[in-house]
Amino acid sequence: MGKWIKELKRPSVFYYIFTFSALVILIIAVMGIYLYQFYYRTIYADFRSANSEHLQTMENRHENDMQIMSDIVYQMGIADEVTAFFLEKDPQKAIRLEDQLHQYMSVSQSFMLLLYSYHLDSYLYSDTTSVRRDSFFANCVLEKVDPETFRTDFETQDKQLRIYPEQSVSGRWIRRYVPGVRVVLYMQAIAPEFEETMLFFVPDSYYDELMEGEAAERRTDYIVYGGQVIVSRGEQAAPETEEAVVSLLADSLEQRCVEIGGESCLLTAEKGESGLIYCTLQPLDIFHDKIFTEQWGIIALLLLCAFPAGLVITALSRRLTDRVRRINGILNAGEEVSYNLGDIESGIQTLLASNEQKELESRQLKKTRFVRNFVRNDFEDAESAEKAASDAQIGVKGRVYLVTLLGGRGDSNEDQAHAQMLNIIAQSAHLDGYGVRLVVTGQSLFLLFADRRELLEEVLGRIFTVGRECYENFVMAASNYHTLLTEGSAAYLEADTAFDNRFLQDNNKIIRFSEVSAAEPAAVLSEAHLQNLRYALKNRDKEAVRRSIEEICMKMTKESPSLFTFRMLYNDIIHVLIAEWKGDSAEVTGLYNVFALSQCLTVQDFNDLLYEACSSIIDSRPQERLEETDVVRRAMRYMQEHFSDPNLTISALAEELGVSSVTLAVIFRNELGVRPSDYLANLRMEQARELLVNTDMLIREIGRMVGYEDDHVFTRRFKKYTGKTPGQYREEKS
Amino acid sequence: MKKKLLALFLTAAMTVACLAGCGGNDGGSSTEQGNAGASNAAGTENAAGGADDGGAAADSNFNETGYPIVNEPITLKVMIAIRDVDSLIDFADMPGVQRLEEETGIHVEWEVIKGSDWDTKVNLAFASNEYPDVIIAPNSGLDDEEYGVTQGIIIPLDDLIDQYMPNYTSRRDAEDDDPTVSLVASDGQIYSVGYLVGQNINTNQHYFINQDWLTELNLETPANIDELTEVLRQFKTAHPDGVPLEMGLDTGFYGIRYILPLFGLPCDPDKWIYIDDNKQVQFLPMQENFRKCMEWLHTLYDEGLVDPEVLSQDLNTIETKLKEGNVGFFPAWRLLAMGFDDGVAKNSVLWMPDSSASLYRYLELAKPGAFVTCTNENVPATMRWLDAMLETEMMFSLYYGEEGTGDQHTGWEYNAENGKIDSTNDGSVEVKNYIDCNTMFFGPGKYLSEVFNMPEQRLEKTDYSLKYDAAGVIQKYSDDYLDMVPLTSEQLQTITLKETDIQNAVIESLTPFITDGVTDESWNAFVSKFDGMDIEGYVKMYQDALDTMTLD
Repeated sequence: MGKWIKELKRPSVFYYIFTFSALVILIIAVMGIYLYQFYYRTIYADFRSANSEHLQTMENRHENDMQIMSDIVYQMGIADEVTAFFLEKDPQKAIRLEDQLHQYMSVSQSFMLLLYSYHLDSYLYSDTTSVRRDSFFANCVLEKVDPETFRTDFETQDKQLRIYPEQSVSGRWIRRYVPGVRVVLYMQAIAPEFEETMLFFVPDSYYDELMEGEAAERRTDYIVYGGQVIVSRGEQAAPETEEAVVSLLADSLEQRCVEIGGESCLLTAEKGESGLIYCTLQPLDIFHDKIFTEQWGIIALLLLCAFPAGLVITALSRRLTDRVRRINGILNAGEEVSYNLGDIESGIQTLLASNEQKELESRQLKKTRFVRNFVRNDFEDAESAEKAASDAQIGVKGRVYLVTLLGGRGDSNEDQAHAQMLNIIAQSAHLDGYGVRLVVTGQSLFLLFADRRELLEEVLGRIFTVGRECYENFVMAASNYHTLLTEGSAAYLEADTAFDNRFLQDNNKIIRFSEVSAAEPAAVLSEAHLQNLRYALKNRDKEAVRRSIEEICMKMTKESPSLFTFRMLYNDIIHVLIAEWKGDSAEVTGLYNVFALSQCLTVQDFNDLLYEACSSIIDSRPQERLEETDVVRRAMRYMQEHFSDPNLTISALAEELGVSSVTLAVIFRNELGVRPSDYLANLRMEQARELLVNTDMLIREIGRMVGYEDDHVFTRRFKKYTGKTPGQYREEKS
Repeated sequence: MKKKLLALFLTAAMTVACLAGCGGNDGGSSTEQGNAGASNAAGTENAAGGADDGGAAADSNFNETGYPIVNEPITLKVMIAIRDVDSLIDFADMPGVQRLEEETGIHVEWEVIKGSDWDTKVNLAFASNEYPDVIIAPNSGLDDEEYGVTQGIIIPLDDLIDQYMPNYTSRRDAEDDDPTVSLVASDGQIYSVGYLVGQNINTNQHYFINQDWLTELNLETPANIDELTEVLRQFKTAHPDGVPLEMGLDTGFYGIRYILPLFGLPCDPDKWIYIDDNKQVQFLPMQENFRKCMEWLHTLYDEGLVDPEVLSQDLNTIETKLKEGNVGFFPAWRLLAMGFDDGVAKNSVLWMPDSSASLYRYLELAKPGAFVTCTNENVPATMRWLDAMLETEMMFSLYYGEEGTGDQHTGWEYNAENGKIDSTNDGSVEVKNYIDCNTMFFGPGKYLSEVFNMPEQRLEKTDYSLKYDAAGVIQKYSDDYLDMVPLTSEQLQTITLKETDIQNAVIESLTPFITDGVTDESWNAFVSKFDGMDIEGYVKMYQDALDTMTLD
């Protein structure tokens, strides 16, 4: 439980589930309450209307009979020929009066005895007899009304209807007509003179029937007149409660709940036209019982809704919490189980941040990679360079670029300076680039691409400014402008050369390569030397490699190129070798690094570097099939020894080696990448060149020497090989 | 998964339950076809009515003698008439009835009908073919000519009575004259068991005069009508708030029919014809003396010597006044046991009219009491049951109330001295737990005087009867013979209608005669009322029938 509360306090998924569930419960509860209220009100309305109906039925019937009595009184009022007479004067009227009364009696559904009297005469008449007034009052004794009052009321000249509540009557005369029952007496004087009175006796059996009700209903009915209960039937029909009822009715006739006899009852009342008040009481317990028994239906219904809903919600929420927990688990691996949505959010944010971070790093990495690759000429062609550039978000197509190296002392500001410079580059429009730190040399290398040279210049200038501010002894060197994307290394080397000349230049401005070295023709390394090296590599002959490298270096030295040229050359050599070995750039990175070239200051350095690279290449490639290599080697040696023999053809060679010429051609080519005929031709041409330059032999003779019998063929071949005729070549070289 | 299934199942179950509960309050299958068919025992019409064999089915159950009458209880439906003035409790609650049932083993379903509803109910029952088993109606009667002789709804009982009713037959045969001759119908058969409360009386009313007043005023007892009139005048002067002559119009007792005999017209309680001393049937209203009586009454009325309410009051009002006692002269059945104890019984004495008076003679003959219908399936048991009601102690218990209930003003007890039955019923009880005079009672004079100490009031009246008889003021031939003349059913039917017309005509005219007097004109007008009613034929019919009877 404590764990639950703890969970609730945190903005965890439980919080939301609980909130949601509470909401659902609230809705169901509200609906339930509304439904219940509606039901309650409906049942209550039914209860009230049932009471009203009961009252109405009672009232209608009784009022009807009251109306009949009233009509009788009225009719008697206008029946002059039988009323208001003196018996001793008009005895016949008495007989007709009795007949008339008999008619009323025979159709009466309420009263059982009807009396008429003319005040001025001393007789009362029923439908069967006359009776002297004195005798009547002596012989009709009411239980609750003393004879004096009775007589006075009877003889009063008052239009008001008088009603005596239910009571018994006694008297030897009256008991013949009203045998042993209780009666309600209605007394009405006849309009307009009110000198006659009619008296109606209504028996209790009539009221028994009128107010009949089922015992289970527990009703109490009252008829009230003149401030007293005339007749009542039912549970609460006791004298004690009658007073209470009367006073309640005096207050108001509205249907309402009242306290009677210690019980809550619904009081329904109405005043009839006759002036009687009809009232019915029913204990609210009846209503409550009804509600109680039937409310279980509603409650059952609600439970019916709630139960499956609850199960569904529980099941779903369990799934949800599991998921949240799992997500949290993933995001915060190893930490405690959490249902916290906040944790998810922060975890995702962390993830996103680190993602962004990684992306940034990745971008930076890509840029860095691109710069390095570009500068090392790792891209085979312009398209792959462009693709890598666009991956790194550096726009290179159709742009001009340069490489700039910069460095200086001022350790603490290096990072800040670098960041600023990168910022400058980033903010420059139509210009892209990136800068990397060269750990070994402590320099920063910036590669910049721009649409126009002016932009490059401008940025360079700004970078220079920053550098000057941040570094002590700041040096910045820049390469020439390049457009070909395959000249990355060249650009670097240019910058590097320029940088190396810093001691000789003015460091207060950018050192340009163009200022520190004259253009030189690109150094050309003979194909033969390169091929030897290739062979040696192919043969995995490190010794041969070393010799070959030495030869190259000798050659190079003779040509006396500049350091820059040397570097360029070596770069080219190695790249060519590596490309021929067809390894991917990942392997290459390990083998050779252009930046190492910048460390080479002596020829020996170059030698060692090249040797190292070739050793790595050899080491990295597994041993090939000896047989084939053996054939090729033997072929090569044979050709090297017998190239001057004009009879040396490829097929003869093949025969000599014991393979078919096709096989020879294929494996030779596979190993070395050249055809045996070309290799032979090469050997011969090289020798020819030597001889042309170093001897005075006739061209014809040289031709024969190198193995061509026909000097036309020789001349043709030579021209094809070198681009010049032997004569022109000799001329040039001397 | 399990949880879901459970939830689904519960949901479905609850839905079904809810719907079932809400929908179905169709008040249950109404198999409330009443058990109407159950007791249609009386429905089947049985033409023969089993006058002889009384039902083979009941044989093994029925005991010819002794009690119980049946071994396995049977049920009889009895329709019984009671007087309008009787307030009786539920018959099933009456101790006497309960004992009767215990004794006889016969359960009775009583249908109790007031006299004023009797005719209607009887007609209804017979018209709808729903006959009870037994009809008991000594005071209301049943037309045995119509329902017995003509329709055969009630069966002849002659042989059955002789076979199964020893109590009845022994008493009947003990009398000098067969009191059941009055029960014989036109076909010579008897269709009823007789009812007779032997009282040893010979007339209905006697006349009484306030002796206290006579004494007080020092007056001689008047010997004739003129003297009576004078005395009434004296009474009036002395007691202006009293009533000199107390009577009613056609109230039965105390009515005009009780006054007419003073003028030599023996008016009986229900007809307007009488038998004169020459055995001639006479039509009363057209007699000279009728006019004389009217004139006399007018004189009294004019002078205020008769109760001013004479025309308007009913029997109850009259009796109330008699109970108060402030009356000078009146006709009545008797003084004792009428509730007059504090009234006229205290101050009045018998008055002897002069020889011009002719009172209606009352024959102590059995009235038709009980009838058996043709649908009765237990006729022998019924006869024995009726006889059981006539067992002396049972009879008195049903008539007066239980033995030894004198403290409740009801019942009877054995007289310590002579071992006869004394009545302890003083007639004061308002609501009775006994059947009273509505029950079967057959006590002809001889029998009755042997077993019963005639109560004081009976003796009183016997005394009056003897006196009147001795004085010769009672008609020679009783009007009761008119009820016994052999008339056919059709004749009786015409008579009923005619007699209604006659009655209305007479009563209508009485009032103006009394209030306004009689002139030749008004008298002739009165007489001419009867012109269209073929009174001669009516009288002749009776005469012819009477002539066939030997009356002496």
